Amino acid sequence: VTAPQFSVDMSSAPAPTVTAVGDIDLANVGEFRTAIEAAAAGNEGIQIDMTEVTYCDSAVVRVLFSTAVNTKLTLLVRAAGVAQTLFAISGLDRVTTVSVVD
Amino acid sequence: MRDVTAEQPAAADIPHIGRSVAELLAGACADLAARFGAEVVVAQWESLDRRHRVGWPEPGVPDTAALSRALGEVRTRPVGSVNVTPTGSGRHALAALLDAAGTAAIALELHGAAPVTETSAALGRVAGGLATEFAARLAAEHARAVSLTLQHAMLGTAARPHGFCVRSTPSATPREAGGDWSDVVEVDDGRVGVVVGDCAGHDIRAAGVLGELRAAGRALLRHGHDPGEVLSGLDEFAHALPAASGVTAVCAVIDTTRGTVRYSSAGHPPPVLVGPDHAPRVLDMAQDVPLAARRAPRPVAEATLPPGATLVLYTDGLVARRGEALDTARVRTALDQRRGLHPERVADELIAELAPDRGYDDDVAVLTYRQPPADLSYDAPGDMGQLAVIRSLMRAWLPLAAVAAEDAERAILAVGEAAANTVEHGQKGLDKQVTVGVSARCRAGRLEMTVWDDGVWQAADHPGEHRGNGLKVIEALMDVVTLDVDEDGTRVTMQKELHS
Repeated sequence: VTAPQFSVDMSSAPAPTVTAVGDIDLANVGEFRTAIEAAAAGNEGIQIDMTEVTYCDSAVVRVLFSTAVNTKLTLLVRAAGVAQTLFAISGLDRVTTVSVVD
Repeated sequence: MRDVTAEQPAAADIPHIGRSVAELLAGACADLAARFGAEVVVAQWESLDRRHRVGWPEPGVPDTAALSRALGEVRTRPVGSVNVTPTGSGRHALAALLDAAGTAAIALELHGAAPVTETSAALGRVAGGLATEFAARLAAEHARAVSLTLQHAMLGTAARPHGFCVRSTPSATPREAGGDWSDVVEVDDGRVGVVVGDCAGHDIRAAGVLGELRAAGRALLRHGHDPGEVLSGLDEFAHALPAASGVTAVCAVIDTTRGTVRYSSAGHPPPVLVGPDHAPRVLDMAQDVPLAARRAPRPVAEATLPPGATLVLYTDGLVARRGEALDTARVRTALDQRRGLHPERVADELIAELAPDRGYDDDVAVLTYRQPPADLSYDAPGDMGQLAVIRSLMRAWLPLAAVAAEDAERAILAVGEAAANTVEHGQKGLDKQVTVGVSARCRAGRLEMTVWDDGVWQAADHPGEHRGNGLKVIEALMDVVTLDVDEDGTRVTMQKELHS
């Protein structure tokens, strides 16, 4: 049994956390969106741990932009990883908190 | 394993510098504690503009105000003299100077009942012997630091053409600087010369020989000489250098465009070549005596570098073990398992894999080169499941093309964005199944990738939905991006200059 690619921890502090691992593209971004919506329901802010994400692209950025309209997002990303680069290019780092983890 | 040629290290960062003095004084602290029943003993000294401190009990250097004061006060006294300071409650701090410059001293604190006069006299005798030993070890450390610093300076930090990688590591046992060198020189368009050499001896003279031969080799290569001529030229230089007997070197000139290597070896382990689809092969058709051993033309041989091949040159420290014959089979085996890795990782892993349990006896230099692989070319129906397939092809091909991890990640994202645009929008309004294609090639340090389809390009930015972000991302990741759209389909061409 492999661990789920997207998991939600509603009891984590300081906010509910979605943890994503592996590659996220058009084929599975829908599952990512579902996990985020579950965590965000009734919460002011959530955290998304993307430190173990090995690939993500604009499809992911679009989901995060639309979530950020109503929810405070804190994104944990690996230093110098592709997610950090992508979030800076797309301007996502201006509407969310991007927290770089070494 | 870090690339010690990539940077010029501060002398204080070089392993073993300062260690033997530290060992001497740490040992002395422990001895004094045991002998005089001292609770705390501290020694401090300066070396290479840094202050060092060791002490007893370990771990953690004890830091008491009384001892610090005692160390400070004794600095103006003659070497070996002992300064006694009461520290209250019948206790005394005793400090002895270890060098005339006033930078090294040892101090201990005695409890109230200890015999201060006798201890002071005994400490004076210990300090006298310690001062002599300290001076000798400090001088040896400085000499090694100077030698290593010069060697690093001579090895240089010039940028290398793409696909070339050099790694070196000093031997594990603390001693003088080694005499290995490696060099990469761009000759002309597409041709690159390399030399790996090994000077016998590990002192400052070996470092001097190394510097002369390296400079001569660079000049000979830059003038377009064949490997045999380069080594003959080095023979001439080595004749004139008394310390250069027994120097071995291997020289190769690689034509990266044609995919060939011409090589010659002067008593040096032969290069090893491994292709993506064939077993490692030793290039030993041009083996000859070490430099300056006799005057005669040098042999030269040529080999083909198939696409994706890895060429490895190294010094015998990699495989030589004391009392054992040189065994190249271990290099071939280790290399065979690493054909598809980035050439930097090939070098790192060779050094790590072949290391003896106690570390290398000798210095080791390894130079790797990766011939660009066959172009990547793939096409498939443009559905979402193909995005993962394209990524996995790119992840295997990019290291083979010697694209460094960070550049590779960006290349995968750029191709992924372009392919996703096809998959997401290319089908719009069309009856037929759209095809998505990806190609990638690496030439002269430039990565060129194309994503094409026979569908419809979706570029318009839908406000609020952040579509069309893909091209913006691609443009930020790549140096040059061109988008060709016509009735037959769409072609995104992306180029990036690669770092070595």
